Amino acid sequence: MFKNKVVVCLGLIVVAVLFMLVGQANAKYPNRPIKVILATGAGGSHDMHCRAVASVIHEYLGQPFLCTVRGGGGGKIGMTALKRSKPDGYTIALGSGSHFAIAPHARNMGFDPKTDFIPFFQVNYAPFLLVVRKEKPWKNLQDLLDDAKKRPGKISISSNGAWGSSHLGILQMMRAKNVKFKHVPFRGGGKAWQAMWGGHVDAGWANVTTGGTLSRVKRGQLTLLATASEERMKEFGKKYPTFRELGVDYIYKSWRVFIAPKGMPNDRIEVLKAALHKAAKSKTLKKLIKKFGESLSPLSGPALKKAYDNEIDFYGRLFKKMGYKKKK
Amino acid sequence: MEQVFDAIWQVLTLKALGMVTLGVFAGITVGAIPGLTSVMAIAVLVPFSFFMTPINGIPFLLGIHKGALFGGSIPAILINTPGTAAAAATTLDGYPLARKGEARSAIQMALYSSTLGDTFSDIVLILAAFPLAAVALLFGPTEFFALMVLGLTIISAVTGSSVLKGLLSMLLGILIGLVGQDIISGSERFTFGIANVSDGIGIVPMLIGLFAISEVLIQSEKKIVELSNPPESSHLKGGRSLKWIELFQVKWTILRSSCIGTAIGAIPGTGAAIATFISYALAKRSSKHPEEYGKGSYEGVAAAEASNSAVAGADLIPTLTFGIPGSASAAILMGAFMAQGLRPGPELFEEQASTMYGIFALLLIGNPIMFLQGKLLTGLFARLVTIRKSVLVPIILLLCVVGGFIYQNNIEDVKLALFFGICGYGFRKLRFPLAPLVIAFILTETAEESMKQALLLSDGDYLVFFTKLAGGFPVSGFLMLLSIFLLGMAIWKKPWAETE
Repeated sequence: MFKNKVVVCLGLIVVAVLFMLVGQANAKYPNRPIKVILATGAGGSHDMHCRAVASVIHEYLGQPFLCTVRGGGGGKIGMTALKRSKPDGYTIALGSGSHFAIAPHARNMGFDPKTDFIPFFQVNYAPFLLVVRKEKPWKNLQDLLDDAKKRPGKISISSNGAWGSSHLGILQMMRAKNVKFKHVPFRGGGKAWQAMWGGHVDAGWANVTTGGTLSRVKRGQLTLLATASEERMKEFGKKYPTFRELGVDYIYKSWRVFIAPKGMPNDRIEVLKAALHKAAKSKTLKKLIKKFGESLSPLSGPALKKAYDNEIDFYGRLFKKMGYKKKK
Repeated sequence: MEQVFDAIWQVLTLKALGMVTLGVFAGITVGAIPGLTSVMAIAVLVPFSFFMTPINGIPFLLGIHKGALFGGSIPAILINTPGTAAAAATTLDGYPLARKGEARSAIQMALYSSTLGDTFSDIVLILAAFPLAAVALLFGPTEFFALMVLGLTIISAVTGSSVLKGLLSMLLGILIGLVGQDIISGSERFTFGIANVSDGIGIVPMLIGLFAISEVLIQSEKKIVELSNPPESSHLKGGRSLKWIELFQVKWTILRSSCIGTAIGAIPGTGAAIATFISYALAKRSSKHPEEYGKGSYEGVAAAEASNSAVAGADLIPTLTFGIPGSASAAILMGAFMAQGLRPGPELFEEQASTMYGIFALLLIGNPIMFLQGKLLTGLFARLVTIRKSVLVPIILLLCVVGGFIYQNNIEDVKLALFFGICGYGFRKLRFPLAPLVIAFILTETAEESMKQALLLSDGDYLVFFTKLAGGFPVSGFLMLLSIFLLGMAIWKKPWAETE
């Protein structure tokens, strides 16, 4: 007898859950979790930012974000997955500048970043920094460039990969100042930083969080030569010059920007945008991002679209000037 | 000292211990399911740790990290499917043991050696993180290449009965390892335009294919009657328990593997898979019974498992001291540390000493917790070998397909796994050893790119591998001479004279 009652109870619960699901299906967008594709690897700064946003977004959206890592192919796999997804508002991506602004110029990625995707919310960005160990003789970028002129091809700089974001920085310096560096590519920024910190290469790239760069610069263990930002960075008290100030036209910000596939209804984009703006004001998220050593810089609408297109065009021109032939 | 005891006292709350227990359990489960990796599990659970205090949240994640390295050995031993890349070496001896009906004792050996290896490396982490990190920094491209060469020479220890087949298998491994992007020029090679392999061949689908799917194919040759009968060893109910004397006999193997695992784990960019195979091959080389390796040697299981678990603690050395994660899971753990305001670097141990010692204490306590959980679960898992093949084999195939998919949420990886399954079947039919292929594959990526980087830095001078000084020490030269010595020993022993 008892067993029967249990079965009946279970049955009722199942029916109730089903009704709830049906009820939800008729509710307004969003009524189920939203998948966020990460075309980078697990554990990188994009992953951490996605999970930080995901940890608060349900409060403002009513539904959670599911951060799904689809790394590989230098971003090709994840970004193509976004392009092929149904534009119903339940699949978006947290994009990276190297995937939408650089890779499409270097290789055939299978998507056009301008027409296939809609950028709708920038979480923040982290500009690249050119750093050397404190024992090295160069105290600023000019020292390094002068020395490179005297000893062409002798000073080594590591990068996060051939034709990647930091390799382009090296190429820009070489072009603008007519000098020659020894470029040593690594698989990823972490390994490139490690080679610099271990003294195996002379200079390397970092963003504020890589290997605790922020505090190492402040403690004088690392010398910061220049920042690849538009303006001097307030994290360092505006003490360090940008590349542009020194006559090198190079800006690279490791973007964390939410991207939707083409054809996603505008009202749904607006819903996400509004929720993200609210989340960006929440104390919890601010605190989390601050603990990473970064800050939030929310941006959306036409201003974001313009910055996004500018970045793509900027690198397009750069590749063209270098006479680069796109690889199949 | 007082500070240390204070910290330990402070963390011994029921909640913190509960979190470690939960983490270890989750880790073992995730490790035991092929395709699910601790990287994924930690990534999914990191946000929960954001809202816990560091002393509860971090040990929970560390528990997963720990548990998964042992958990991976369970399917490796029972169904020849390495749950993680680090468990690939465990299949070599674990699976033959399970087939002999000694699944329970084999898993216990894995558990005991994992626990000991992990404890060893945790202690090293606590006592010597900074000196070891300084040594790890000496490793640049030149030194990495020399280390990989050392790894390649020890393949000679696992070639099996035919040296020629072993070498051929190694060359195939190198060839497969070259698929993907050339690091220096950025161009793709040997990819045949397949998008999924443009970054190289995924190790998990490859291992699932080579080891597990090939096994399914071999089983499917058998007659239905044979498969429907309970396995010959089923009356053993999963086998006996491991005797303490058997553990005592392999104490030096466990110690050696723990040292190797800790040392290699401390060098970022190497990883558990490399450490495991190097330990396994060295253990065989110095064993009194090398002929048992590959046919069900407890020593082989101990060598592999002690080493891969020793990576768990050592991984954290570069992660916490200079903010460069030693592995993919350590990368996510670093994020979790940062989200708690625990920023890697020297200041971490100065400003947050009490929290850090608390976390370390819980890291150590995690080992006996893993031991107890493993003890309880072993009997349950070992029963799996009593299932008749007609039921088990389809389940394994299903696990392989699902595992290949969930590794990166990518259906293309399933195709890759099936492809390697067919290759693996061919290799086994032709009696080609799989170990040289897998080791060579794992080493090739780092070997190739570090060689090219080193030559770029030396302006093309090959002598750099012998002459370069790192921090005043000829690290690279020493490793190269050691490789030459080991290779000389292998030739002197005339391996080609060995017969099966």
